[in-house]
Amino acid sequence: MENIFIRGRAVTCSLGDDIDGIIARVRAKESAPVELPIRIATVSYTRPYFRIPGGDDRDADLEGYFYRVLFDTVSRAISGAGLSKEEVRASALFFGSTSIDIPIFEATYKQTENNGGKKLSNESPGYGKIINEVAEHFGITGPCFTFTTACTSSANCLLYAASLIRTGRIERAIVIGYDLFNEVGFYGFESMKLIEPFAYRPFDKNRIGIIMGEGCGAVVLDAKPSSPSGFRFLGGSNACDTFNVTTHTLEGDDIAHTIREALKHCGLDIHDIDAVKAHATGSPANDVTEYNGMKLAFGESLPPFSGIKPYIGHTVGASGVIELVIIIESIARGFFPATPGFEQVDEEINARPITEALVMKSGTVMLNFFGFGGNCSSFIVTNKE
Amino acid sequence: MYVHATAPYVCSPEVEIDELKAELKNYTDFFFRRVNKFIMLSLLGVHRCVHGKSIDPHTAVFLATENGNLGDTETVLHQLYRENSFPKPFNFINTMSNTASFYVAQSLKTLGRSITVSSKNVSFERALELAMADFELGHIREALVGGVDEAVFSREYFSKKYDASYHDAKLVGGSSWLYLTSERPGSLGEMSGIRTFSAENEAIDWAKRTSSPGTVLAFGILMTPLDKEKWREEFKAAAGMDYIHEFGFYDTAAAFATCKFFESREEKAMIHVSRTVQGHYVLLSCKRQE
Repeated sequence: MENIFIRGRAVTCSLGDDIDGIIARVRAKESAPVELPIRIATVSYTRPYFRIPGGDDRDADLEGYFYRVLFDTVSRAISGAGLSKEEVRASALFFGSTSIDIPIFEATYKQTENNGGKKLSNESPGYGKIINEVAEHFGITGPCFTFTTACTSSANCLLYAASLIRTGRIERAIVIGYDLFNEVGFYGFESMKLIEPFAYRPFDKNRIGIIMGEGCGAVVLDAKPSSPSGFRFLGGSNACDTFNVTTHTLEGDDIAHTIREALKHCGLDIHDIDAVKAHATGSPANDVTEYNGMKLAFGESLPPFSGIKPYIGHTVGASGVIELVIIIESIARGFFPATPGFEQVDEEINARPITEALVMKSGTVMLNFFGFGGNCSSFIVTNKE
Repeated sequence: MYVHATAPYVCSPEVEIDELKAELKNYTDFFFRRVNKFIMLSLLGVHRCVHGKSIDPHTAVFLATENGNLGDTETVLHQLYRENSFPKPFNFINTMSNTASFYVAQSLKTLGRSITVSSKNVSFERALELAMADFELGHIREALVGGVDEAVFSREYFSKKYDASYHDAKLVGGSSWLYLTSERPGSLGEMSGIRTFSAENEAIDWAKRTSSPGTVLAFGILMTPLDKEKWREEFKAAAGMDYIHEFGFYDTAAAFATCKFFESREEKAMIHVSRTVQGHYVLLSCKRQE
């Protein structure tokens, strides 16, 4: 199987945009959620949220802020990859997001007259607009893809970017995951009673739900090797669990199937995996399902696993790229991150994520993502020889 | 990728969801609750395509769309900012366009890949490219690839968006699907290639090499009358298939053109030429089984 190299990467998230600083805070198990107001009808309270620091001017020019974060993150990934101008020009672009341009649109909508009516239906610029803006900004002429598969969006971008490289259709891809705060999502998850009001604690007995976050991640996948990364994207799998639009089968059958398929496509078996980055949303049902799926796939050989959303929040469609960057940058600095917030074992499932970081300088790691619409994605990266 | 079934479908912008639901009942007994027009369009299109066929439980679903679920996003915005209320959960869930591909998979009992993808003006072509890669790598053996979009309601915006030569085109909703497998026997034909070119002359050269006598040309919305004239001149023998003029336009109408080609049983092969907003040419070629 041809190698696909992870050449450059960058992240902007609630822990900032400096990768050394971000990983230092992950090592120290720090996180920085803020309380955001929920004000609707007669109710007024707050819920935690992992917000990108700074950006005090965002409300004045939301669209400007949206593209500034996006372009800056992509620019750092390109620079980190050391791409030549010609390599940038010829790259393909992949964009994965749950909200896509909803943050921009809701800012506009708020300002329209009452009964702004069918403005979106009438004037939708289409899901492809954002990635076309990226192409124009960086002078990129390769094909553009926008994936919208809920929380697996940018994970699926990575899978298909790798497939198109492997089949020789493209040589290189800049893969972006981006979800910015929007009230549709924040109030939407709250309306479903899925937001954890206290501390983020995946797999913990007292977990209540997710804490959302915003962020942008970008990686460069390339058929050509490069240092300093040393990480390769081995491949993975995607499948649809048709049990329910918001939850997966409790037994985790389809999650296990996705994991097995990912291993098969990479030519690996369960013993090759040194650690698993779980999706670990912290919602009562999803953690049960995911753990059951992992147990089915790995049996007694389940490797150490961890959820990293307590550091940066659940960045929904962007999580595929953002969490990949955090995992490989942590390993590059000698550790696999722990799951902060986990304190008490839930006897019903008996899941025990690692609570202290593992020493890991090289490893083969599986990253799992499961979302609304039954979407299940799993991929594997390594920096082993 | 061999084509085993196709279903071109367009409808009036004003079609009511109940009408779509009634039509869908002709194809499936599956009961759908709380689905919106975009989802219903997706379901109707795919069930028209596979009606009477036995589908492998690992069939992949690739849903191409330019705009996705506009209706529920608008409803949620209205609930939040006009009614000052929380979004209703099912409206919120349906703002995510992959709910449509979920219901497609659920109704067909397929557990395979499920991808919703978009790419300005060439969403259907890009979805086919993804499917083609999966076939080549042996990741899938069967796939449903469809182009689904609700109608654009504003003609003014339509003209502005496309600077269109089709000022008089009917604006329609559409949901057109192909059922593809890796097996040639029994197929209607094959999707033989998808290529992107930055230079028009390279695109024309490739099209010439790919085409054979009896190849029909079809064009995407951003091809101007001058572009089309040039291409027709280059392919002196090729007839044109002006599906936008004849049947109306929706944003993933290249899916309709492809399905219509296989349905028409006239020409031997088709090359569909789209131009992107970046000025690239995306060519899709397909041919009927001899």
